[in-house]
Order: sequence, then C-alpha cells, then structure tokens
Amino acid sequence: MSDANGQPEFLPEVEVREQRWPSPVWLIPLTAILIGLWLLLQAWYQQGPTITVQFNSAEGIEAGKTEVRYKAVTVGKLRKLRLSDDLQTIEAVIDLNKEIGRHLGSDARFWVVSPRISRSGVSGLSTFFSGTYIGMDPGTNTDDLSFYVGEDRPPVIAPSENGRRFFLLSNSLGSMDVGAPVFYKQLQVGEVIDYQLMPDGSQVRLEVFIRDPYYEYVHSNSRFWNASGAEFTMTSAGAEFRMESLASFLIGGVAFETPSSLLAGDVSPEGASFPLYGRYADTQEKQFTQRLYYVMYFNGSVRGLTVGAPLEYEGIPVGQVENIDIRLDRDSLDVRVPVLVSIQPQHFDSAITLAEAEEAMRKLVEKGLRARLETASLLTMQKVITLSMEKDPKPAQIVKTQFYSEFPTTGAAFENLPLMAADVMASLEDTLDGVNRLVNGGKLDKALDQVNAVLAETEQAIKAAKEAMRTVDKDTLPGVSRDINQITVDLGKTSQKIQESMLQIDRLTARNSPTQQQLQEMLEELTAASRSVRSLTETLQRQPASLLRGKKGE
Amino acid sequence: MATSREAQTANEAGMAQCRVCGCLSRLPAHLEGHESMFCPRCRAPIHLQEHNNSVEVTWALLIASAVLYIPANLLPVMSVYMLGQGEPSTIIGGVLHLLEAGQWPLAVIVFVASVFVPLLKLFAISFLLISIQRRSRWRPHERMLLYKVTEYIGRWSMVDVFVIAILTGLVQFGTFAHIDTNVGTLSFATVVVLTMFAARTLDAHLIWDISRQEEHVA
Repeated sequence: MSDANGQPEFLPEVEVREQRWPSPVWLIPLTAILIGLWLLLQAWYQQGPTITVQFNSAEGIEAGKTEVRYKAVTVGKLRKLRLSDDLQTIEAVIDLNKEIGRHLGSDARFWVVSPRISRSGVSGLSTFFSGTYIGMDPGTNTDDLSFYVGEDRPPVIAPSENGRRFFLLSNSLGSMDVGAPVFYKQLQVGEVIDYQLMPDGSQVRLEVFIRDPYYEYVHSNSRFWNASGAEFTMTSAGAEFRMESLASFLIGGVAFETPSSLLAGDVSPEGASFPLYGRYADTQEKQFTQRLYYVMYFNGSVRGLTVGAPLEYEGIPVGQVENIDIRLDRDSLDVRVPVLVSIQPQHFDSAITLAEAEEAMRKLVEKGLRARLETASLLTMQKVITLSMEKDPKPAQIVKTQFYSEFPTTGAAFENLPLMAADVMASLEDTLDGVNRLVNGGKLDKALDQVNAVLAETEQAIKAAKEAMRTVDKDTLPGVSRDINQITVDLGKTSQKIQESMLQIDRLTARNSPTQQQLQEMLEELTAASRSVRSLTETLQRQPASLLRGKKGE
Repeated sequence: MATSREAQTANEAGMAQCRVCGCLSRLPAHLEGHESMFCPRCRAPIHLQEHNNSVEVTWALLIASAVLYIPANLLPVMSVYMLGQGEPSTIIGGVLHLLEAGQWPLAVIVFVASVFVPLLKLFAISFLLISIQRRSRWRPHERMLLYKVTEYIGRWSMVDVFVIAILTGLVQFGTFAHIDTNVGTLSFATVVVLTMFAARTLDAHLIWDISRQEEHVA
C-alpha cells in the first residue's frame, strides 16, 4: 500500500503545468498604474501657459485666489503678484489653462473687473459676490506672448462680439465718454469704445463699435453727428426740437444716418473714418465736394473776420474763410494779410465741374465781381466777405500766383468811408445853407409873429373853452345830476308799485282765487237777473195790464 | 514514520489535498518557480502554504494602492463654495488651511488619518511581505502585532471618505454654499480599500510558517 516514504502507491500525481501568465491579480496594480498615468497626463495636458500681465494697481486682486475669466468661464488663476523693478506697476503671474492657452494671441487683453459706477451705469455688480476677477479676451491670432500689459478699464464691448469698428473725427470730444451710445433711427446699435487725440493734436478720434446686423447701415455716405443733449432750432420755418434719447441727453451719444439717395455708397469696411458733425442740422447741409480756393487781400483791418466766417453772394453763403495769415515782405517791408477763402461753385450750379467753375469765375470777375469785407453785425462786429457786382469797377482779374489765385477785392467800408463822410458833410452843408437863408431873409420873423398871434388867439380860445367847461362842471352838472337822482328814485318807486299791482293782478287772475270765484258768482247772478228781466219784459209785452192789475190767475 | 512523536503534515508526507474536490494527490519532488500545481481530477489550482499566492496578491494590491496614493494626495478631494467663492482643495491643502487658521489639533488629526496612516500601512505591509519573502525569523511576535494593528486601523482611514460623502450630500444650498467631491476622493477611497484588502490577503500563517519549518528541520 505504501512506498518507501509511506505514500500510497495509487495516489495520482499532482498535475504540474507551466504558468505562462502571471496571476490575474496583477491586473489591479496595472489598472491603478494606468489610472494614475491617465490622471497625471490629464493634469499635465491641462497645464496651460504661464504669463505675466502688468497692471497699474493690484487693488482687489489676490494671489492664489483671483480667477481669470473669459465669458464668465474660469480659464486661469492668479499665481502671484509682484512689483515691477521700477515700482511703478505691478506684475501678475497668471496660470492659464490649456484650452485658453491654445487661443492666446499677441493681441490678447486683460483687465480687472470690479464694481464700477459710471455715468452710463453700474457694471460688475456680480463681483460683489464672486470677488474681483481678471477678465480677458484671448485676441484674434494664436501667437501667444509671455508678457502683456493690462487694460485700465474693462472694454465696453464684450470680447469677440460681432460688429465693426469705425472712426469718427471730431474737433472736440464734447460731452462724449467711453460707453456713450450710438444711435441709428433712435435705436441703440453700438457704443463709443475709445477716444484719443490725433497725433498732431488737431482732432479727436472716437472709436465706435456698431453691433452685428446694424453695421450694414453704415455706408460710405453715412453721416454721424453728435447727439449729445438736445437740439433746438428756431427758424423762419418754425421751431424744431430734436433729442435722441434721455440717455444721450445725459451722457452724450452719437447718431448716424444714411441718406437714402440714389448715390448710396457701399457698406463701409471695418475701420472706416467719418467726420463727426456737431449737430444734426450740420449733416443736412448740402455736401459740396468741389471747392475753389482764392487768396484775398483787403485793405485795412480784418478784425472781426474769423476762420469759418461765411462768404456770401447776395446774402447766400457760397463759401467760407479757410485761413487768415499775416505776411511780411522783407524787401519792401510790406505787411499783407492774405485771407484764404474757399468757394463752393456747386452752390451756383450743382452740375458744374471745377474747371468750368474756374473759367466762369474768371469771366464774372471781368464783368465786375469783387469781394468786399462787410460787417455782418454791428453788435458783435462780426465780418463776412461778400461777393457782389460793382457798377463801374476798376478793371481787375484773377491773378494766378504760386499757390492760390488772387481774387480782386474792393475796399468797402474802409476805402469808401472818407468819401461817404464827405458826401454826408456836403448834404449837411446844403441843409444848413437853406436854414441860413430862411433865418436871414426876414420871412421867418413874420412867420414867427403870425405864429405868435395865432398862438395868443389859441390861448384865449382855450381859456374860454376852459371857462365853459368849468361852468358846465360847476353849475349845470350838479343840478342835472340831482334831478336825475330824483327821477331815478321816483322811477324806482313807480316800478315798485307796478310790481305790486302786477302781483295783485296775478293774484286776482290766478285760478281758484277768491276774486275769481266771486266774479263767477256775480256773473251767474247777473245772468239770473237778466233772465228775470227778460221774463218780466215778455210778460209786460203780452199783458201790459199786469203792471196795474198784477198777474192773471195762473 | 507513522510512529514519529510529532504529527506529520500531509505536505511533509509529500501529499496534497485538493480543496475543491478533496482528491488526495502526490506532490512532485521538485517544483520550478514558474510552474504551478493543479488537481489531477478537477483541475483546480493546488496551493501549499509556502507556495501560497497570498504574497503575490498582497504585493499586487499594495503596488496598486501605492500608485493611487500619489493622485490621492496631489489631486483635490473636495471643493467648498461659499457665495460663489471657493476652489478645490487637496488633503495637504486642507491641513495647511487648518494650520493657518490655528486649528492645529484638527490639522494633526486630519494629517494622521489621511496622510500618515495610509502611508504607514503601505510601509508596514511592505515590511511584512519582504520579511516573509526573505524567510526572516526576526521577532515574529512583534511582526504579528504590527500585522494586527495594520489590519485594525486600516478601516478608520475611510472616515475621511465618509465625511466628504456626508458633506457633499448635506451642503447643497446652491449659490450660498455647496460642496463637491473631486477625483482625488475616489483615488483616496481606492487606496484605503486596497490596503485593507492587502492586509486581509496577507496570510499571517506565513510569518510563523518559516519559523516552524526551521524548527522542524532542526
């Protein structure tokens, strides 16, 4: 039964197999390693770029807490804050996540969002609860930088909002501010997003943003005007009041309009520039593009003449003063004041070309057209230049010079003033002569005597009249008035009596009044009496003897 | 040999019994490391105590939990949002936060329960496994104590996971306050569970087996 080792012979051998695979329990650590690797890879993959953003102040932001958000989605975190080397700014080291890192461009913008109260409203209220955060706009390209300069204030337009930017050139900023609305047909379609002085300081350039569907209404012939406040104009045609909205009244704004003319321009491309008119009325003026420039030299002072002063033909503005200068000719020591003016020939003929206009102007000058300086207002001493036809002008013509043609002028008020004064003096002299003759001729004395006599008579007459009046006043009038008073009193009494009588009559005639009843009874009795009289008379007719013998036995 | 004073085990007698079908079979004289034994009748694997796969399984579980210990501590476990403000925080971050707030007893408790104890378990089990594999005879009583302590305290690390689970369930007040769990919690819970399993699969017999064998041979 047992072998040498005491083991039973019949027992089967244990089956021995080579184990090719390790125990399946090793799948557990394998899975763990895979999960761990995946988590690490994910963390590594989500690791985005680290950038530095320069801000003016670290107010409200806190290292390790402040988030970076794009469209309200957290895309990064502020890792630490440090001062710049020159202590002028702060540098924020920001960890961005991978997603936004892929889209980070060289034109990316960063700004701090905190509650902000401005004229145009309250913004960033959500930061009361969520804390101040750093807003960002990843920009358009993907050339990321490691250093950015933060914006001072949040952009008015949400990042990547669709629309177009345009530039408006204005002489002054007015009451405009960033965030001021842009209106089209009194509908808010955009905002003023930035403004800056042009490099030469001559104009202010406003940057406006027009939202998506509305920018299509901005054509090359669109007109923008400053819609701040209200516009009130009073002309011979009546009063007109214009106000875009209460908001624009308070914070200013821009409005634009695209004239629906046949010559409508194309939709303007991004970044197109437009002039900004001061008010709506200015945009309505005819826009003439053609201008003729002339230089005019006036004798005498040009005080009161300003740049922009109108150039009028028979009172109709046809141009304006562009520039007033002063020049010294060193050789002749001749100081001249050239006035540069522009004439818009299309005021005369809208279809005229510039060359034709120049030729026409030349001919007109030959016929006697001259420029003259006139005072438009005696109060303000403002001057205008008028073009007018002289009756018998000294021959002159438009002289071509190096830059601008010279337009002949005729000294108006200043040259003619002595002459006119002489005329006035001459007339005055004549008048005085006549007066002298009158005085010296003796006729005047006679006339005066007569006048005196007339006057004396008149005085007497007046005295008499006065006397008469006084008499009337004193004697007649009081008596009359007394009588009238008496009459009036009597009349009053009479009318009172009449009234009483009428009342009594009324009472008498009233239905059911005792008088009426009595009258009725009386009438009945009278009727009965007359009947008796009649029967008596009949009886007497038939039997006259009955008067003597009485009635015969009935 | 039947007359031997000491009881002879089946293994010592060169025999093994299948634990599935009860078939008694003869052991081979020699077994290579890459070979394994199966019951000649039912083909179920046959394990002798010194060839128990307990060590292998324990190692596997231990390595898995060691791997997951890294994300459990690096990744955030919980996010607390108060009035929209808040952020995910890691275990160490929470401990540091408590220290900053001056709550150092709490910080110590959290640190010990969440960081120190799991790490201690990993090291203790590793030490036991290595000592078994090296057939060490060094202080079996103390090692047994270490094993018992490790197995006993293992489950208490789950307290963290339960706290997070309860807080996440209770604190859901929308914008005012809410608490979310993060992927770190899952890693941490897995670490705790795997170390508990590792402690279970480690056969305490093995600590004594070698001693006994040596004793026997002597």
